[in-house]
Amino acid sequence: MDSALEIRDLRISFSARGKKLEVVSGVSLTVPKGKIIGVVGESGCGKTVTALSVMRLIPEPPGSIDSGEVIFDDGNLLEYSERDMRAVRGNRISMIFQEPISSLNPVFTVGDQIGEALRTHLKISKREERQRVVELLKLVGIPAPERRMKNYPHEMSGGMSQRVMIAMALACSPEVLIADEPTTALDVTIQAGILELIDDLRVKMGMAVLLITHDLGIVAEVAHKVYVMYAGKVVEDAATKDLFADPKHPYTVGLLHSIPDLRDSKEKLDAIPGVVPSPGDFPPGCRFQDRCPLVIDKCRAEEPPLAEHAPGHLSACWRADDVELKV
Amino acid sequence: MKELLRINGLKKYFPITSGILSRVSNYVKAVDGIDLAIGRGETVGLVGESGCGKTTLGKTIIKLHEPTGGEIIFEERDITNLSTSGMRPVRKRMQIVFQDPYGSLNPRMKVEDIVSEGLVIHGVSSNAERREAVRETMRTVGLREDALARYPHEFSGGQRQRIAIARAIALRPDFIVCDEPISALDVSVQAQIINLFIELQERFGLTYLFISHDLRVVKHISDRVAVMYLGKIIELAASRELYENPLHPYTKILISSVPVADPTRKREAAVLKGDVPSPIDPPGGCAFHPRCPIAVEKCSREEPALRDAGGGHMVACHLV
Repeated sequence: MDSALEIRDLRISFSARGKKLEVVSGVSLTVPKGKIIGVVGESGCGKTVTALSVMRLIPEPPGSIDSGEVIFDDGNLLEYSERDMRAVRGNRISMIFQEPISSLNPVFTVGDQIGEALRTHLKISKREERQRVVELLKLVGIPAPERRMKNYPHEMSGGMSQRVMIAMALACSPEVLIADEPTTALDVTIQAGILELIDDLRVKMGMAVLLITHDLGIVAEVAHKVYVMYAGKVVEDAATKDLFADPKHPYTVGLLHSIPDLRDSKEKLDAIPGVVPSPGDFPPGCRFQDRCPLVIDKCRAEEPPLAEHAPGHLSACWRADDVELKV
Repeated sequence: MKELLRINGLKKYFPITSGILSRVSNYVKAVDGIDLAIGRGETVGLVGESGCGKTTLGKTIIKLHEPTGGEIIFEERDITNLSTSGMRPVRKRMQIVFQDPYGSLNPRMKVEDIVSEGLVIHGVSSNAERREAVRETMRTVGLREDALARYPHEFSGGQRQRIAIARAIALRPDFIVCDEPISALDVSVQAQIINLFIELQERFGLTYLFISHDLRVVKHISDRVAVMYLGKIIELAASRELYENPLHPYTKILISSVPVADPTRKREAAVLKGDVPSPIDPPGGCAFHPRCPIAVEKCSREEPALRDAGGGHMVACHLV
C-alpha cells in the first residue's frame, strides 16, 4: 500500500530542570493514502508529541528530536529547513487540535482566518479567496456561510468552531490531516457529526488521516488501523477489527475493560490498577509491568520488542499469546 | 425505597444586565421548573449536552445557588428558604465532587487540612478523634496516610479526585452531587474512580446525583437516568429501560451518538442538526422542536408536559 506519511523510529525528549526525559522512545507508524489511522493512548503516552513532531511544532529547546525520520513525499521532514517546512505545513499536511475555541484567533473573523491559509499558500485574488472560503464553510456543514464567515470565534459554539478549524485545515486540500482529539471537547451529538465529516472528506478528497484519541469507541468507528501507545512506545499495532476481536497486549485489554458498555450495568469495572509511570520513572524492562496482570520475571528484566503475533498484528509483550479478552 | 430528597418546580434564572445602570434585561433560564425525587441509596444520573443546565441543577439542589423558584425538600423538610446558618446542619449531609480536581483543591492547603476542613467547621470531635477520622477516610478512598502531609500538586489527577472524594465523605453525608467527576481523568483511571463511587455507596448507603455528559458512564452507575434539555427534564426512566427503550427523539439521538467500542457493529448514527438553542430565549412550544426529526406543527405551539408513559417511564413529547 502506498503510504502518505511514515514515521520511523522516532525519539523525542524534553529537558526539565537539567534532566533529559525521553517522552517518545522509538515510535514507528505508517499512514497509508486515503485511510484513517488511529493512535490511542492516555495522557502522557507521547501521542500528541509524535503528531507535533510531524508538523515540526515541537519547541526546541526544551524539546529535541533525537533520532528518527518522518518520511513524506520521499523526503525526511525532520531535515527540512523552516522555509521548506512552511510550504508543507497547513498546505500539504494540516492539523486540527482539541480545543477549537482556543485555537482560533479571537480578533479576526473566521473568514479571515480560513482565508489566511489560502493567501499564504495559493496565489489567488481576493474574490476567489472569498468564494473558496464560502465553499469550505459549506463543505464542513456550516449553515449560511456568507453570513457566518463574518463572525468572530466567540460568536460560534464549540461544534461550529471545530468545523471552522477543519475548514481551515482543509483549505489547501492537504494530503495528510492530523486530528488530535478533534472531538474531545465536544458533545456526543456534535462528535458524531464531526467524525462523519472527517470520514466523508477522506473519501471525497482521498486524504490520509492520523486520528489521535483516547476513546476506543471513536477508533472502532472510523479507523482502519490502530496503534496503541503506552509510556512513549507503540505497544500494539493491528487492523481495527483484529485489535478489538483479539487484542494481544494486556494494556489494550485493560483499556477495553475500562469502558463501561451501554449493555451492562452497575458492576465493578476491571480497572487497570495504578497510574501511567512518568518519563524518567520508566522501569527497566516492559513499561507496563507494574500494572500488568500477566507480569512475569522476564518482563522486569528485558524489554519486549514489537513483534508479529498474527499476520499484520504486532504486540510488544512477552506473553502476547496468553492475552485474553474477557467476555 | 424511602425518599431522601425531592424538588418541586425548581427554577434557577440568572439575570443578564445591560447598560451602565446594569438593568436586568433578560434571564438565562438555566433550570426551568424541574420536579425530581431521589430515594435513599439511589443513584440518579443526569445527562445532556453542555449548556443544558445540569451543573446548575446540581448546585441549586444543594443550595450553592439560591433557587429562583420552586422548593427543595430534604428528608421531608423544606430547605428552600433556609438561611446560611440554618443550612449549616443540612450542609453537612450534602456534599459535592467537582469535575476538575486541579481547580477544586486549594493548592496552599495540605491534604490533611483539605480533608478535615469540614470536620473542623462542623465542630466534629476532639483533635485526636478528628485525626483518626481523617486517616480512616483516607484508607477508605484508597490513599496512603503519608499523603496527608503533602500538597495537592504532588498528586496525579486520579489521586486528586480521590482527595476530593475523601473531603466529600469525611462528614459521612447522605447525599453527594457528583458533577462530571471523571471527565478530566484518563480512561484507565476513570474506571478506578467509578469503582470507588460504587464501593462507597455500598458501604455507606450513599445517594448520588451523578452528572455527566458520558452516557456510558451514567448508564453504568445509575439506577435511574434523567435527560435534560434546555433547563428541563425531558425523559426520566430506570437506567436499563432508558437505554433499551428510549422514547424521546432527543434521547434516541443522544444514545445513538455514543461511539461503540466494537468495529463489527455499525451504528446508525443519527446526527443532530444545529446547536443547542440559547437558554435566554428558548424556542416556544417544545424547546427541542427546531432540531427534532419528527416534529409536527403542534410541537411549536404547545409545550409537552412530563408524563408517565407506563411503568414510571416519564417522557415529555407529544408524539409518544
